[in-house]
Amino acid sequence: MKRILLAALLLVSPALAGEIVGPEQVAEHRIAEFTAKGEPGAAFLWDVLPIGSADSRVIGERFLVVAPPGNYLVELIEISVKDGHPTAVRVRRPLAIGEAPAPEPGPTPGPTPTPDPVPDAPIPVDGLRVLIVYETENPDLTPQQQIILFGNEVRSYLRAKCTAEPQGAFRIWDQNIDTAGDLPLWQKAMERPRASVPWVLISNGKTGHEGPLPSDTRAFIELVKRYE
Amino acid sequence: MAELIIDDDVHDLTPFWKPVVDGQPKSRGYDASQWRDYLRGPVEMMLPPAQMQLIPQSEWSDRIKEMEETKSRLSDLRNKGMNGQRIPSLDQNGNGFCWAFSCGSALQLIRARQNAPYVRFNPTGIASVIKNGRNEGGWCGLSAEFNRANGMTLEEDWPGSSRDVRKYWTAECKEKASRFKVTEDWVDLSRAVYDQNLTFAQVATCLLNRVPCQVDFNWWSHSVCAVDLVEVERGSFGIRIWNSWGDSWSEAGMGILRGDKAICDGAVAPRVLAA
Repeated sequence: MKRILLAALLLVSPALAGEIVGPEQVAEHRIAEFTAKGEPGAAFLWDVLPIGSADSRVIGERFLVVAPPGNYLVELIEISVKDGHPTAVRVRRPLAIGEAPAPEPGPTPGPTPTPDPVPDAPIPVDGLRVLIVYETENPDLTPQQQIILFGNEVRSYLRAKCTAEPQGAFRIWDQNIDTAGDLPLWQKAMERPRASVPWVLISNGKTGHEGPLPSDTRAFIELVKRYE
Repeated sequence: MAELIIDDDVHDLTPFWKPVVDGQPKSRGYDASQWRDYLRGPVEMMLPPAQMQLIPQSEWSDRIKEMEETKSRLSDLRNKGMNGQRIPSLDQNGNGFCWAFSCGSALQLIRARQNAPYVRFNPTGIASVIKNGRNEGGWCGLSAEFNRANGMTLEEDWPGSSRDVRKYWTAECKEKASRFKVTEDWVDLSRAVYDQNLTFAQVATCLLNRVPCQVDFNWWSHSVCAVDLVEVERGSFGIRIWNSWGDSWSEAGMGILRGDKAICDGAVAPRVLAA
């Protein structure tokens, strides 16, 4: 269950992108409460994994979780605009509720470097795939974004790189399209949550990106190149 | 063959009235005289779909230039829509089913726009079912209405120009056709199918948004698919149409209408096709 929190955060110190602030463990029958640190003006999508395992609510800037004893992952997707380009960053942190096993002690005390979070592949199948979703009824697209969707440069690029299907493994769909006739992997990709349209999903089977459509062809191709 | 430009200066309409392409006589089939058979109520003044946000005419010229430069027109999508190759024109091949072929051509373009795998439609199938095997004229709104409910027949299930409904309109053919329904379109549903139309400004807006339009013309007794908005001369706009007389008509089956010839007497604009 995704929750969107559109409040801008006032930060006293420089924040990590999409940092989750909250407990790693709470007692049974207690509420786990989280807040997000991120870019000013960013939007946040919250979730708890496994999907459907916990009850959660967004109340103001707080994300509240109640669940049976066990181990969970709290997921935060931060959507912001940097240097004129929309970006989305996904982070996760573990949450143990009740008698969950304690983590093993590390060899040395003190802080350890945290690797950059690597988002899961939105389409867990090998190969580069791209899904662009927009609204065909009075599309809220700039002419430059229309060129991303329909122009030869992007389509030729995608045809050359997304080779899992004869015509190129990419789709450009209206947000309300009936997907029943296409491959299940595209149906599942279309079922993933979107914060807005136009929206782009990129997956190479190992990692990927989901976020608002970049502003022009160059930014779009640069974004896809990261996942080739 | 160079792309035909059909404008108000063309007074000899013989080639369009009795079209022969590569020695083969072609049919049209849009018939403005049969509307009484479909009359459902009093004929009123047409009201176009009101929700469409029109792109101002002051922007048309710049947008057209940009679309040409970036090859992002529907005609450009057609040129790469068959696994990187040009989609062949449909061919109504002797039947007066242009009003259904304008739907089929539009659906070919939408699939190309959505980058769906290429399939070849044969609108002879849906026209034959609608007309119960008779070779009769109709309107684009009639084929669009049928498509919304039943989809579009494929060449592999309904070959050539046969109108044999009993032979080809099988359960399998119906099931496969049902996968190709338009689920969203610009259409004036308050009007009967013979009376559904869009203004030129609405057609232009659709084309600039890469939404193909099925368009009927009384002067031509013909229905075709509008593909691109074009600026024929500075400040003078027309539409590129995709005919259903095969690739040998005009330039790869496409030509340009301008002036009064570009003002349609019936139109619907399918936006979204089931994947």
